[in-house]
Amino acid sequence: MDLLFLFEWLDTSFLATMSKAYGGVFAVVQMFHLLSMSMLGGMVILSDLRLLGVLMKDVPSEVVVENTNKWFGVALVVLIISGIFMSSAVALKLYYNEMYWAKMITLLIGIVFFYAIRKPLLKHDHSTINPWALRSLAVSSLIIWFTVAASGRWIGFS
Amino acid sequence: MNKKNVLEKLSLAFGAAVVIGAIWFWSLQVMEVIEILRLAAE
Amino acid sequence: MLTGGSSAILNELLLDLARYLDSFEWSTALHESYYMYPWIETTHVLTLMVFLGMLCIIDLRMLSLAFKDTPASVIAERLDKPMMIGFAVMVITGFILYFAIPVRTTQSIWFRIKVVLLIAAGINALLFRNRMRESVHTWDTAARAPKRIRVGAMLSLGFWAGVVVTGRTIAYDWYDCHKELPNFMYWAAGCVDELAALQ
Repeated sequence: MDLLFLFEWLDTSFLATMSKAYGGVFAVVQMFHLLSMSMLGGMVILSDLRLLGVLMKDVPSEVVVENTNKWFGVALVVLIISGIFMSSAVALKLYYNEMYWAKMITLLIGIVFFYAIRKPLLKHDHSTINPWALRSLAVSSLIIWFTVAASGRWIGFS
Repeated sequence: MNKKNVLEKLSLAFGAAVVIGAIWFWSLQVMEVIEILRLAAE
Repeated sequence: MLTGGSSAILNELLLDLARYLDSFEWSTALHESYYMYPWIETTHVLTLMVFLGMLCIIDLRMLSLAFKDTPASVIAERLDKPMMIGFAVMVITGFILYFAIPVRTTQSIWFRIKVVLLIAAGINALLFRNRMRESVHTWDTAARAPKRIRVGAMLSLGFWAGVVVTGRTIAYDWYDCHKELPNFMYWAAGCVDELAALQ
């Protein structure tokens, strides 16, 4: 499956005209990307450290997960929209960037993991869930989102 | 086996895969860094 | 000299300090390093997730947008420690980043706005803390915080958003001193030596 056509299309799209011509617009969009990265990271760190019994031990983990999931979703949507806009400025360069693909694949795995495994499993009463499954969820979620963020920053350096 | 049981098994397997995958991916990066630093030093 | 009076003296002093820092071998080595600088910068940016992430959750609670059924003081107290750990890492890496490129950064309009916003965010945080301590027992379990607290939370999110965007734009050279700029920008960026950053 060759996705080059997608990037060629993005490179000539209206988005690219905007993102290439106006540095200021790009910077503002990037601000939203960074702010929602902070929000997503905050939600991931809080809920996973709660599942591991590190943070907010006196608040039920069901409450923590429920409250963080909502804002995780909001942050993810803003990240993806601002990310597509930022990609349009350097679409063809990104297509040939290994770190970019590492990030996209990890992101895809992360989204599937979050909505197909983590969220449905955590809907159950946490005290009835195998504690090792909970720990496994928390550790893999921390690793995945750290990798997405770190490889994202590295795109700019590679 | 009910759905919860399947999800528990899935999350355990997924956790193991993520840990192995992350160790592989990041050690690849570290090795690349070491290689470039070595070339730069020459 | 583009401006007279005390601001010019201050700008000279700041530039002298920057030049002094720049004279350290470490500063140049860091700036020209293959990986050290990018790694420190990456740590600085990624720690946003810890610091700003925790701050964001506290402010969302105050705005009754998250954890409505959990006492506000519980959220604020439990998240204070991770937030301050994140803040400490950001301050340390931030100083190192400044140390690596002191001269250009000192004469950057973005860096100056960022410092002003940081001070504003700091004052807001102190006021917020006091207001919390005075009044929290009267509304702790209520979903909706008093107006003063909500305003503080919104200001906090606004100031930090500003800090993030100006922090990012330091890397752009749009308004560097060697470019042709309106006079007020020369003043705001504190341009003393227009070519200093290029040397």
